[in-house]
Amino acid sequence: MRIYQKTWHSFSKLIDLKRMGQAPLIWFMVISNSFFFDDVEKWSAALEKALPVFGAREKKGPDIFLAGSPIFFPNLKMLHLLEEAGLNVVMDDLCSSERIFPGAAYFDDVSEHGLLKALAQRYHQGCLCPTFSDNDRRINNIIAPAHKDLYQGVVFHVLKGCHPFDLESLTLEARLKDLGFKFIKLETDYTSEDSQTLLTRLEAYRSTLAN
Amino acid sequence: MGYKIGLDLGSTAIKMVLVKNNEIAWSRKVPTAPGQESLAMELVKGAVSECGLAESDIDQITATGYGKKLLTAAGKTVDEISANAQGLHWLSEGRCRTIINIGGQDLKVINLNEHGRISDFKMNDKCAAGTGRFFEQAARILDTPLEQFGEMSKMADEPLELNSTCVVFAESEIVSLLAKGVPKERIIKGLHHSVARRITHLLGNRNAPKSGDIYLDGGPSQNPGLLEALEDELLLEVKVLPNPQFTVAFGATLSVN
Repeated sequence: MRIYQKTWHSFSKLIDLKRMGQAPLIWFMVISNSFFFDDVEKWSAALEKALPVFGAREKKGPDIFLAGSPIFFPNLKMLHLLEEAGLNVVMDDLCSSERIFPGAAYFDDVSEHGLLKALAQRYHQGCLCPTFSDNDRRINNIIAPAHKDLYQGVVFHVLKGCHPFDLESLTLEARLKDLGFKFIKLETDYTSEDSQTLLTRLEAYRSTLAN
Repeated sequence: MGYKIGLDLGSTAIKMVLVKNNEIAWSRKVPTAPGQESLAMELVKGAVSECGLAESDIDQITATGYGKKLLTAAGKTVDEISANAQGLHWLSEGRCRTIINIGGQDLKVINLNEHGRISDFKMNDKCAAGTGRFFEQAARILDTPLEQFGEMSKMADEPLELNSTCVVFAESEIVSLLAKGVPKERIIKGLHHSVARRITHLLGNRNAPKSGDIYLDGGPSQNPGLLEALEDELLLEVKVLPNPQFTVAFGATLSVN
């Protein structure tokens, strides 16, 4: 648990860089994906070495929140299209990206019971997917930053066949639009043939964020 | 000098306008085929030649549509949704608030604010139902030119309720209706109403027009039978401008990005 706390500390620095628009989306996603393949301490050490590489970048376009189905290497089509459309992803809640681990487990009670309780709370609070419970918390986590103007719109990515996210998109869209926030849902798969139609939607969506 | 070209490279047709002082001086469309770039450049040459211009008289070529990136001669590209919004806002003198665009393979509803900027939009997703392709298939099965659909639709008293707007399943449904002796006029009127219902569902409550004028554009908007069915379903007036297939190409010439 102490190792994961250190790892979370490093990862949260990368997330901060992303919030400031200094960690390009594709790099962030690839680094996050690599977490699944490497030893956690080695990953953490490599991340600390990589952090100074990210510096100030010219901001391309409006800031958006990317939500929905996970995006895993090498299926980076959506990420390329988001960058091509000039959309700046500053936040996301993808289980393959910012939510690869939802924070560390913090504890005061070092007894076995206390440690187990801290671990359980950490995993329950994650709620990375509509198949888990307490979907309201995840939806609120998407909406709350909009009230603070931390992003201009939500891009909701649905992988074909991922029906829980597909169904949840209806709730999220209704709630966001009732509050006056922007939302677009894009359903796609691993093929590249729909790239142009998706890009058309993203470019048009970008123009709505400027209005 | 002072001429601008807008090219809309769509899935079914390539549309081109030659514009001077924001007025269309020349327009033409050709069916889309392999080699879109050369087809588009032939249109450009045709315009230059027929209007007695030189290539140097063209200040800007802007491309839009799914094939926009294929045109290397284009100085600018713009997505077709933005181009459509810009075009209709200008041509309606700012009165348009909702655009229903029926293309060859897609269907769009675009909401505009009072400044003509897009406030929201919805598109059909990977489905030809209710698009130009749907009408083309229907025309083929009914062995009736598309241009006659409007007139024939008016001859039917009641529309037929079609169960499917799916291009694939509609084929078998139309064939079985014809075999039962159902008049073509009723089938065509039914087709118009099923597409109009689909558009109404796409509008939903959220994108339904709350104020301002509604405009229909794209190729199928030239079908008066479809227009009548849409007004029946929406219970609202829907306007169609002259040359509705060229509003997107025209809007592209107004693009500043």
